Order: sequence, then C-alpha cells, then structure tokens
Amino acid sequence: MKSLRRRFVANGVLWRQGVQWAVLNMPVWTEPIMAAFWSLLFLVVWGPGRGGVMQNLAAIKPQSTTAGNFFRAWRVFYNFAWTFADTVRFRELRVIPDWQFRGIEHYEHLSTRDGGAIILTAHMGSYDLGAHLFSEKSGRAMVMIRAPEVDPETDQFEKQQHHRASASLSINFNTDPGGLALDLLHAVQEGRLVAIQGDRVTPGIASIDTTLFGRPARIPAGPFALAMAARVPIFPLFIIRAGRRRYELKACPPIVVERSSRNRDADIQLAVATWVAQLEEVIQDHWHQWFAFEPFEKSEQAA
Amino acid sequence: MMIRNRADARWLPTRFNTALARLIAFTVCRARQPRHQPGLVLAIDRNQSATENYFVAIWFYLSSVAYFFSGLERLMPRWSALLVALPATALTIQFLTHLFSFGTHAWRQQSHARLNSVALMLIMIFLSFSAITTTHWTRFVGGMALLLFAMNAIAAVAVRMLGSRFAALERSFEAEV
Repeated sequence: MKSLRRRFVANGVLWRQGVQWAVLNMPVWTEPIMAAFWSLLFLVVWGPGRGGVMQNLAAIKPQSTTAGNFFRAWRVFYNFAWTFADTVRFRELRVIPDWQFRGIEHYEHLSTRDGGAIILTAHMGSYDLGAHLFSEKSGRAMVMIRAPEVDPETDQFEKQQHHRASASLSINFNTDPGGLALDLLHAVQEGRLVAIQGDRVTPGIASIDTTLFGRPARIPAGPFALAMAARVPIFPLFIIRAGRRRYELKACPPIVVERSSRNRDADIQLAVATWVAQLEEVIQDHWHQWFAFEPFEKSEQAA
Repeated sequence: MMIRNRADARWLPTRFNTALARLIAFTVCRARQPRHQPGLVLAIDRNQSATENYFVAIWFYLSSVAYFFSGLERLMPRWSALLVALPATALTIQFLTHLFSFGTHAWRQQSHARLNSVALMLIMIFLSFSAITTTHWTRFVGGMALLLFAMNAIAAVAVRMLGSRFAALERSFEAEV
C-alpha cells in the first residue's frame, strides 16, 4: 500500500511513465491542452514544489506579490511540462527541436578545442536534451552528472532510460561523491567533457557558500575544484526554452580557475563569483525556466 | 533532417502537418527571400509549427468544450456546466486516447499517436454533423469545424497536384542541411 502511494507523489515513477505513454500515444496537437491541464493540477496539488518556486521567485523579483508569484509559478510548471515532454520525445522518437545558438564563438571553442573541459549548467530548459544533442552533433565524448532520484522506483526508471543514451554520452549518477570525483578527473584528463549542474546542492555534496539574488545560498564546489585540479576551463552553458519545440543555447565566455595564490579558496571564490553573476543574469531574464522546486536560500537548519 | 542558418526555412511545408497549413506555408515560403541567420538550426518534422499546433489544439478544445457544455446545461446551471466542461474535456480527450491505445495494444512499443489523432478527428466530425442538425448555438461550432475539414480536404488535393513544385522547393534548401 505504501509502495502504491509512493508512485503517486510528485517524484513518483507514475508521472514519468505517464509522460512516456503520452508522448507515444497522445496526438501531438493535444500537447498544449495536456501541458496546461497537468501543470495547473500539479501547481494546485503539489504544495512543497509550489512553495519552493514561489519562495525563489520572491528572491528573484523582490517587488513581486504572493498572488503574482502564484501565477508565475504556474508558468514555471507549464514550461517544465513542455521541456520534460520534449526530452522524452527526443529519447523515444528522436524528435529534435529548433535551436538558436547565442555566443556561438564560445560554443565552437568548446566543441573544437583539444582536451577536456567542464560544462557548467543550471536546471533550466531541457539540459538533458541539450547534453544528448551536443554529444551527438559534436561527436565529443561527454559525461553528464545527475543527482539520483529520491524515489527508488523513479531512480531505477531513469537509469533504464539513460542506458539508451547516444554512444558518446555517458550518464553518471552522483551516488558516491568521493569515487565520482576521481572518475571525473580521469575523464577530463582523457579529453572528455564533463557536464554538471551548478545551481543546486544535493545532500552529501561539498558546497561553497555564496549569495544569489542577495540571499545566502550554496552551490556545488565540485566543478570548481575539478577545474583547478585538472587545469581545464569551465564553460557556462544555458539551455533556454524559447517556445514550442524551440530552444536557445546560450554559451558564455569560459571561466578559468587558476591557482594564483597560496589561498586556494580565494582563487575558487573568484571563479564562483563569475559563475554566480552569469547565473543571476540568466535567471533574472528567464525566471520562468528555472526549475528549482526547492528554495535555494540556505536555511540555518540546512547549514 | 536539419537546416542550418536559414530563417526562411521556418516556412518549409514539411514543417507543417495539415494539408491546409502546408499549402499556406508553400505560398509564404515561395514569396520570401532567403534570410541568413547564423547559429539557427531548424528541424524538419511535420509537427514543428507552433502556430499550427496551438491553432488545432485551441480549436479542438474549445469546440469540444462547447459540445460538452451543450450536453451539461440541460442538467445543471450554465455557470456550473461551464466549470465542469473545462476540465472534463481535457480528461475526456485523455481517456479516449487511453481507450484507443488499449485497442491498439499489439503495437504498444511503437508510437501510434497519429492513429489516435485520426480517431479523435473522426469523433469531432461525427459530433459536428450532429450539432449542425440542431437549433442550438453549437450548430455554428459544428459548421465551423466541418468547414475546416472541407478546406483541408480541398487543400490536400491541391498539395497532391503541386507535388513536384513542393519537391523542388524542398530541394532548394538541401544545400543548407
């Protein structure tokens, strides 16, 4: 009974299977109806997710009202429904959306440069789809790091899906941070690209204290420590949904994490400040694309 | 297939699903000058047009809500009939798709979204025919739906007749693939 109930919670496996079924069976023109209906239902029923998004929106838009943020939260849920469906559609049917590259010179630098690099991204747009496409189109070997799902059945389901990834893309679930750090160091030194999300910290992962939109926050320390150890640049890359089956890939100038003093933390903080500034700018312009369903603000309890 | 750096490829007929939309796209695409847009990658897929997709979705949903509403208003006050019809229509569309998919269980591992789309459209044709025989205001909704179906059927004939010109237009973009 408990297992059955678990399937119905927001991060339960039922919804993942539901989207997979819908992509294979629902006529394409029903997508707007279904995305609007289900995102509204989730907004109303999933209190913690709604609360997390609204709390983040209050920090991003300090002048906003609670009522206004409720509707903004729906826009976040609605966008999430579309990007999730686009990712599943690509996985199941290999349907590719339209792309517009911004900062194409940085993107080309990344795809043509010799040696490894770190791609730092955020929970925006379809980062999953972006990684699949990038590795397929550029032909470069890529390792994508994902946080494991909280629900064991969902985790199992996601792992099964990722077995179908393209040959040049491997997906690692961040279950053993110590072991993973060494694997990633080897991967980067072998010339592979490592894609990591740098906007959220999951439990058990080393973090760096910073401020995001003037509020105390934490971001993962791993990408910066890895860049310093492997002496490779970090390429901030954001995948933004610009419309139905239309995405923008925004590549920013690379961040170099160099050891310039005895104080390692100070050197890392410089890189972190650059990343946070870019992250804030992108989120400010595309708040409806930031799929952070938990409050980013560091609470005393979490600390 | 993907086309790079050509903004005018948005109007390629193969990016549209219905015959009517393809015919409109063909006319627009021929009238447009080539427009270079660096960094743009356009996918060639018959369901790629957002305008067409939203138009069909809104038209189908609102027509279905109207039919639902007309049935419910005999049983309850108008405002509550509308409140019930709005979510019930979305759920019914999904339920019907489940029902059709159950019928096509043999192909479960494949996508049969197109088959389900045809089945839903056939139901819409049937409901629209039923609506135009009544004196209720939904006869206009039914009339509009049948007009759209008729126009699409005529466009399908035109698209078939212009087949070689469509192919020539597609070929002119092949260099950008």
